[in-house]
Amino acid sequence: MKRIIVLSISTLLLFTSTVRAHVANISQATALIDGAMQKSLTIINDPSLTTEVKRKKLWPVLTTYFDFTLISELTLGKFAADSTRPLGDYSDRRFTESQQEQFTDAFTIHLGNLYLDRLNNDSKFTVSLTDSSAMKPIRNMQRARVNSLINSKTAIDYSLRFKNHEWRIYDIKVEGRSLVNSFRKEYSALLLKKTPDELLTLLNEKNLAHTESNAE
Amino acid sequence: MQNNQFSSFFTVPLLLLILVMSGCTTTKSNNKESAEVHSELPQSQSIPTVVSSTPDYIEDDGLFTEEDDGDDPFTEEDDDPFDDDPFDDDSPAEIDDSNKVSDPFYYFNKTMFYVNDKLYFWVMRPTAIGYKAITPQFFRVGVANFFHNITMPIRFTSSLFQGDIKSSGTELGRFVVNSTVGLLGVMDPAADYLDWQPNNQDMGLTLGKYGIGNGPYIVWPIFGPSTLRDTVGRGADYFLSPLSYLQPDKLSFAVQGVDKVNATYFSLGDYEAFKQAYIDPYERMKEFYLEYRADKVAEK
Repeated sequence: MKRIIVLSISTLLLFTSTVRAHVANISQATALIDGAMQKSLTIINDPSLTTEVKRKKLWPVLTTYFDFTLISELTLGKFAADSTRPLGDYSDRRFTESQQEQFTDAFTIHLGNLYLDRLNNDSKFTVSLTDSSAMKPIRNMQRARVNSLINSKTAIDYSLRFKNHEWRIYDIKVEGRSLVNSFRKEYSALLLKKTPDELLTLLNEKNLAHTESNAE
Repeated sequence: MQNNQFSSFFTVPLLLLILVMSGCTTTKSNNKESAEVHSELPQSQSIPTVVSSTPDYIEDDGLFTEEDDGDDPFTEEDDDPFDDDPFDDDSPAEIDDSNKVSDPFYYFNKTMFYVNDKLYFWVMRPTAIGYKAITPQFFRVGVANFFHNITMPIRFTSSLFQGDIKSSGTELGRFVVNSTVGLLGVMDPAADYLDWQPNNQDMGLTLGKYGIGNGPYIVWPIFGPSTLRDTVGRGADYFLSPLSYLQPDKLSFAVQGVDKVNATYFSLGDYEAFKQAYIDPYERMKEFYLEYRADKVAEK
């Protein structure tokens, strides 16, 4: 009887500590987004900074908080180098490790440009975090979603994963629309017509055109 | 006279629509995950975290689904209706034509997409930037509020036809309050002080809620992406908008031009970002438009 009681108490303690760890981690995810927002808004809302300076200061913030490797992998989905899903007649469209690395680099720049292009000298943003929740763990990673409102009207939800003791963002949902899913749809359609190298060329051309237009 | 004109103009396209679209499938059901923002939470309120004794997970985003290796204890439960992962099956990669809206006017549409693109960059954008330079922000907000207020009959009638009496009442109440206390609709005290939020319905959505399918995808010059159903709806909206009855016609066009330029100011940068984001903006525009309208039709 005593054994059963001890066992029950131990189980309860173990379970409680797991739940506490879980809650603490979700709080960490929320704190991470909060920190990222504070850092970003300090730069974005600073009237003394030019758009160019804001871009330069925000780039390290982006690379610190986003897991671009995972974002790129999820964007390629079935076509990613490590995916085991069948590609049927399109098996030659699977990315090699080297192609995927190139894709990650190009896609990181592409996403960064998209985000930073929204800035201009008049940019003024307010952010309020409204909720945070846990998502099913996967690949031994805990996951969380933090909901926010930009300028009190636009819903932006951040999906985060916990890996190597760090939370990082792997997707953003704007008004319920996933950034990763949106690009995944575009690239999967393109990869039925084009090879990975051709997709890389198109992406690099876009980045180059953006750099040239910014230089002008 | 106007009533007769209204009924003849309205009935013909509606009959045409019913004839052309009978047998069309309804828009795809929208079971996508919606944003989970609890906007009713005061901003000062602390952010709730999951505190239940059993972890209570929100719906999955499905992005990892294809990587499931069977070790995930949740895999067997993974029948999430919100899963929007397009590769959530073991089928080989192939062109997916399901849920696609027909695009029989592809070459016309693509040409119009190009025309609208140039129209935006050569005319609308510079005009909106010039407009921004000579008008203060409160003026632009006031103009937007005014045009929104005066087009109340579109939202009121659409909500009424959808059987949404509450929204119709809200629209009517908003119109009365904003037209009087809100200085002819320039201000929006109904939303700001009474929390009467607008319900942005139109006749295209009303037809959609009746179960009428999209029909072919059409890109119109100036107006942009649409479908046969939404074009008919837009025709009905035209007759419901008081701006259409301004005389002379030149005045009506000029006033609607101001509305368009003012609205363009508020979306400056959006189209640029969209075009920069995607390699095939025509296809993405079509997809986003259809998804957006499907979501609006599915809204209750």
